[in-house]
Amino acid sequence: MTITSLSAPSNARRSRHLREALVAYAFILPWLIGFVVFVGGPIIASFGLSFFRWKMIAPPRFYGLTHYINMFTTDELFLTSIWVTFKFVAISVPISQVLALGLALLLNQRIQFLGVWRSLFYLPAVVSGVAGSIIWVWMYHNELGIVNNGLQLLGLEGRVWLFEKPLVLGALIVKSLWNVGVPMVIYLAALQGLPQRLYEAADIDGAGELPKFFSITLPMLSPAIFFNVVMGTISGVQTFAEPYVMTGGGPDNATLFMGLHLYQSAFHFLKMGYASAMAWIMFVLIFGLTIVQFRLADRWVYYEGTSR
Amino acid sequence: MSNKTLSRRDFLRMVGSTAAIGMLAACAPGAPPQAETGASASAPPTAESVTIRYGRHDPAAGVAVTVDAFHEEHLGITVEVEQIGEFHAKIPTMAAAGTLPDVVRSWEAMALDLGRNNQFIDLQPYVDGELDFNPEDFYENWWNYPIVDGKRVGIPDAAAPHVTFYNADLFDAAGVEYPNKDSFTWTDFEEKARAMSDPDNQIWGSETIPVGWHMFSVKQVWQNGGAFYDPDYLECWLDKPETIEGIQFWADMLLDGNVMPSPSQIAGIGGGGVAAELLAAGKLGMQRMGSWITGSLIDAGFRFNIVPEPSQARQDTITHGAFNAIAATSDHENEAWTWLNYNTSTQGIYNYASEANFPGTRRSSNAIEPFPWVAQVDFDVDWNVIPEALNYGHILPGPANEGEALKFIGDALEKVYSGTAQAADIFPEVAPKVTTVISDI
Repeated sequence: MTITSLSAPSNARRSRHLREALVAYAFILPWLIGFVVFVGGPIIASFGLSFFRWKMIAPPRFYGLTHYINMFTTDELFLTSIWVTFKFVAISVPISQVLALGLALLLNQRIQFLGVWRSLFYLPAVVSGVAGSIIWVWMYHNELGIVNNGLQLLGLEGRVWLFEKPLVLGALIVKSLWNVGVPMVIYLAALQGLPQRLYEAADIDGAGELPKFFSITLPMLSPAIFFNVVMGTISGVQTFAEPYVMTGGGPDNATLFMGLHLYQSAFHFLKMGYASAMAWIMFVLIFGLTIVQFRLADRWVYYEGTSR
Repeated sequence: MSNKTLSRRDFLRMVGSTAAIGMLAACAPGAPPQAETGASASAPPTAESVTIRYGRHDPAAGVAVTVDAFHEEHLGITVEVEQIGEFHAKIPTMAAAGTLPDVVRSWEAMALDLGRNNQFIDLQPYVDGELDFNPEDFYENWWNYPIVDGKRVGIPDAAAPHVTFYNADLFDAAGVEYPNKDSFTWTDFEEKARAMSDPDNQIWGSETIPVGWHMFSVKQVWQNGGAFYDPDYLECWLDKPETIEGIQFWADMLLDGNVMPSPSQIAGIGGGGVAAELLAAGKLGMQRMGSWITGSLIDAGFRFNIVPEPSQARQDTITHGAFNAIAATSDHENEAWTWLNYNTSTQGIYNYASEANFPGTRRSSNAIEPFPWVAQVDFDVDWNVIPEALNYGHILPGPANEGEALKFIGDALEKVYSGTAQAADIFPEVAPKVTTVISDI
């Protein structure tokens, strides 16, 4: 009798939990289906395809590991694309983080029209990569572009930014800073979550602004910095729209990023199997970089409440 | 007024139902692509009506007249024209998905490559089944081009030859004699261009070489007696002396800067997009280009004329066109042939060719007046030069894996045209790589 009276509400609770779980799954089902069909499926398919030669217009033929071997032995452009991508990431990620943090610090002050400034700096981030790239093509235009006209106002000679091999990667790095609004917002949120008691304690100790920044702000922001660096690195390795729209990989393959080489291999050269193999190498590269970053994070990322 | 509120459970039910309906709707078969011309809408669909998808990379407006006329004559067949952007990528993707349009119009290399891989049906039985079909009406090289493994994988429609347009007013102003259509050589071209050029005032005797358009260079090689590939497209001949000399000759002229705008000068005047418009802007003495640019010259405000492309070892030029094929996946092959045959008929080819200012691949189309390549201007133009080019010009080559081959060739050409490498040094390096690519069928 006692047992029955206890189990009845328990069953009801279980039943309610089950219903709630079913409702929850029903809500996420569209996303799950979309993920499995449009992301998960192609991911698995691309792994299989990477062992085949497939021109799309003919049946696939088994190729074993040939694609993976050719990538590092005969395809000079693949190694070129890795080098181009590496240079881009190595330069653009640190610069964009410093810039984003600087902007976040400025926009964390009590200034007039704060909302307007924050919106303005974030606005480019909501512009699509293709649209932004077209805008920058015009900004870099030799005669009509704002960049060269600005330089002329300063008495400097304009350059052909997207057609000169020594300049073109730098031009794309500068363009990448256009999206600095995304990490800026994350830094801004992190700054606003910093505990004021630490600054009050520092004030009592007579600390200046710089010591406070380096001893409190930066360490407390380190998780946000880490997040932004990881995300920036991943998106940097995946860069595609800018070289595709602005340079086509030129001049002389100076902006042949891995993503662009992959696309060209797949849809210009109809080497879908090879492109799939390239995508997996790209994944391994990103995964490796992320692992390294996580390992290094133990040395410099501080999570509040943990001891070192 | 009821005071009932929506319970959480009811709300969840409602949202869940809506989501489920939305998902089901999303899973429903999509509507077929809409015709761009709207011409198909004018055809009254019948109970037995069959819809034919016609895919092409050119604007649908080019065949609007033919589509309308076809619909009037064939009430049971509706043609929906699809202009397919990113053609080189989307057509293979459609082929992989089995969703190629019933009739596909594609250019030289793509037509052959799709044919080699059995994406198109053999049209010869259909040709043989038409009692009044006269293959001899087509220019022989165009008729014989789309044959793969003994199968006819396409019917040509229009052919755009490259010729030399010149600004007669600019010649007069510079006191330079007009080119002679019967004996126009590379040397003549360079001398005249050099005599007219005034780079300080952004006037050049010649157009620049469109470095990114690799096929522009093939005509220079042909004119020097060479070729990019052997006749079977299995070996790259980029390392042959005729090819090396031909490209280097024009590269030297380009880099000179006093005959045609050099790469840095082109950048200085606004890049490749502007370079293509220099002739119409009155800044060029001569431009070797396809006959389709005639339209941009009609209102240019100067007198122009036409001569053949300059010759070196032989007279040659590009004749660039496309082929109409029926996809192997088509469920309506007979109706597709009915449309294809109509579209490549004398009148069908004429309709399209006259829209685009170039000749057709049928002699009978080119006999209809006003001739398709002729534009109305109030000065004399030797229009005959354009169709005459079909008698000596080459159709663009059609090797397998052309995209990858052109990447190798294009990278090498870019180096030569920018002056960072000599053709004699780089072409022998590239040729074996290209051979590997094109012979991998």
